[in-house]
Amino acid sequence: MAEAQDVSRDRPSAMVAGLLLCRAADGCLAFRARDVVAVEAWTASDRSPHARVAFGYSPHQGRALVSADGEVVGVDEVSVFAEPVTVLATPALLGRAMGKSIAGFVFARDRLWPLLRLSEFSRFLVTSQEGARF
Amino acid sequence: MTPGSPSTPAAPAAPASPLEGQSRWLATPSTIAGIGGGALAVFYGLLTLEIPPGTGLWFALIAVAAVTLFTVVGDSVEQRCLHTLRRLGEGKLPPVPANLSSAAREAFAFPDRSFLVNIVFWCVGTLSCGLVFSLLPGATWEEAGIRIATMGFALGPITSTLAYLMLVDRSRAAVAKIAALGLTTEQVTEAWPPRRRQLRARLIWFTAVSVATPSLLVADVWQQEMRLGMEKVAAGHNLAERLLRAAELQDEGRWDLALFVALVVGMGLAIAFVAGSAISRPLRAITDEARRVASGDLRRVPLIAAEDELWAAGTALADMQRGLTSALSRLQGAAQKLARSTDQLGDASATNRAGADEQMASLNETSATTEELAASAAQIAENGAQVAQMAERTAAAARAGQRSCQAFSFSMARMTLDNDRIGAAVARLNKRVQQIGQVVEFIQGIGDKADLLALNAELEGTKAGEVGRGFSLVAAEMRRLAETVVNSAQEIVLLITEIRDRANAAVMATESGIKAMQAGAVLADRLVSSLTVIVELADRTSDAVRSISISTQQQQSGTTQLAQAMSEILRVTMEAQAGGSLVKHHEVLSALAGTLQQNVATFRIQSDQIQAEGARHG
Repeated sequence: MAEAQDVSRDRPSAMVAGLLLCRAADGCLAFRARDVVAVEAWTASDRSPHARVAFGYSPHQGRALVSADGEVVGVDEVSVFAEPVTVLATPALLGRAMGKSIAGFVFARDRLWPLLRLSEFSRFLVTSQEGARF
Repeated sequence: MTPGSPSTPAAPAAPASPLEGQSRWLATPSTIAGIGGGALAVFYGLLTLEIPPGTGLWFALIAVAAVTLFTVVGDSVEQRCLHTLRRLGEGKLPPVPANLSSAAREAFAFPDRSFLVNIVFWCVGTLSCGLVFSLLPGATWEEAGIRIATMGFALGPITSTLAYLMLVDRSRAAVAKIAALGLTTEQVTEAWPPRRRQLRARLIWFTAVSVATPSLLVADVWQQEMRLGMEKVAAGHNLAERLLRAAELQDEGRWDLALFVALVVGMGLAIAFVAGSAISRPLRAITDEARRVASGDLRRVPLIAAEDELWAAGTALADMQRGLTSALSRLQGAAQKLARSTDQLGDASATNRAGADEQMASLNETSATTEELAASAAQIAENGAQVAQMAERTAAAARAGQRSCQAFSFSMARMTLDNDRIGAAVARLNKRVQQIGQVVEFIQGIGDKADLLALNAELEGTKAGEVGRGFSLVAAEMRRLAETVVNSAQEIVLLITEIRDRANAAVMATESGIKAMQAGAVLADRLVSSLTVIVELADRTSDAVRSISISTQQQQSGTTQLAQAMSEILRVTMEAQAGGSLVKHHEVLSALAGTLQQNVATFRIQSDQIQAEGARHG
């Protein structure tokens, strides 16, 4: 499991166990459970980024995933998936386009989920929001 | 007596009055009767008085003087009674109606006055003669005076009556002559109204005088002769001489006594004859005039001068003639007018006949219209009664509506109050629901936090790997419970929201209902007021309709009577038109007018009378 965790960090095509499957609008996101320190309630007054923005929606009340370095990403729903799944690799171009926040894809609960790095994705969302603002 | 006065020869020649000498002529019978009576009295005295020797001449002188004196004086008094007539005859008074009326009055009254003068002068004359004769030597009042007075009392009435009867005839003639000078019968009647009715008394007097006086005188003369004869017989010295004297008296012819008796009886017969003539003459005249009037000759009745009842009969005949003349004149005028009117009536009847046809047609139409009017009136009366019933029902319905509306208004007020209560209850309920919402929100927050805790717990269990697997399962189960709580709370919130919306809607509906009810209450109040007015109007309408119904019934009765009257008029008019009664009546009237004119034409009326009557009656 620890190996798998390492692999998933360096090699996205390795096995990973313990995921947080999230919904933001009609999009699906997956985060490693170990990247999340706590799950809190997300409110608009928090000014933290929300995953709905990535899908072209405005933020909505939901849950806030807090990383170890304090980054926060808001999502609509969160569920815990404890089964080990294979991490599918992603094209480098896609990785660069998303600020290296995507770690690969996982297949769980009969569908394919993009596996994201919580801190990077949070910063990516902030950067995307500021760039969109300018 | 000679009429006229010898003391007016120097007067210029003037037309002689028709009444000249009438007064003297009128009084002449009285003078003649006085002289004749005096002669008869002297004759009677010679027969019955024992005139002392040597006093015969004195007796004759006294008698002649008395007769002359009292005849002259009596004539003078009588002439005074004919004062106006004498002056008219002398031309000293004009022959105007007033003087003529006065003269006629004197002439009418003269016989009675002359009779009274004669009686008085006879009494005075015989008494004075007896008194003077009794003064002669050898004569005594008891012997000669009383006999002479008795003689006067016996001969006075018969002489006066004879004079009266002769004067009556002349008096009538004088009145006729006076009337001929310018007095109508009416004026004569007015001058001497027929008031005295003494014919029966006069006849009694005439009979008494004509029978009693001669009988008394004859008996007296006979008794006196008997007494003288007995004295002569008794004067004989012996029986033979007495028988001889009686035989001489028996053989002695007393022509003087026979003459006296004949004269006295003749006077009685003359009185009877003259009295009968005095009565029968005017009666014959009245009879002749009455026959003339009865034959249709209505010319003016001449003056029939008479006395007492005869004068009244004559004047009554004249009045009757005047009345008949007047009536016939009016009748004649009326007949002429009737004839003219009948002609006009004939023309009018022809016009009326045409008008009657038009009237008949109009009456037919009017009768039909009247019958239709009666039928309409009956229908109107029936409708009026129905309208009255409807008006009463309307009034009753209006009153019921008023009561219902008042009840409705009361219910509306009560519903408004209930709605207010409902609104207040709903408001309280809404508040409670809000409180429940807050509680549910609190529960939802707890559920959400519980879900979040369970999620973190599951996350931590998952991070722990196999060790935390059981923990994760418990946390997942708790998370599902928390989610269930949150979902249920969410459903409760939805329900509460729905309840609150419904409650708000109920409150709004209640408020709207309250407003509607308030508006309804106002409308109900207005409706009550309107219904009150409607009830009053309905009552008035009911009264008015009832009055109209009564009036209509009366009108129907009157119209029915009118229709019956029109039917009766139509029937009478049809009968009259069918019978042509007006034409028949006109023909009958024309015939009557002709007959009347013919009958009136049979009377002969003087033209001046017709003109006078026409002028009097217009």
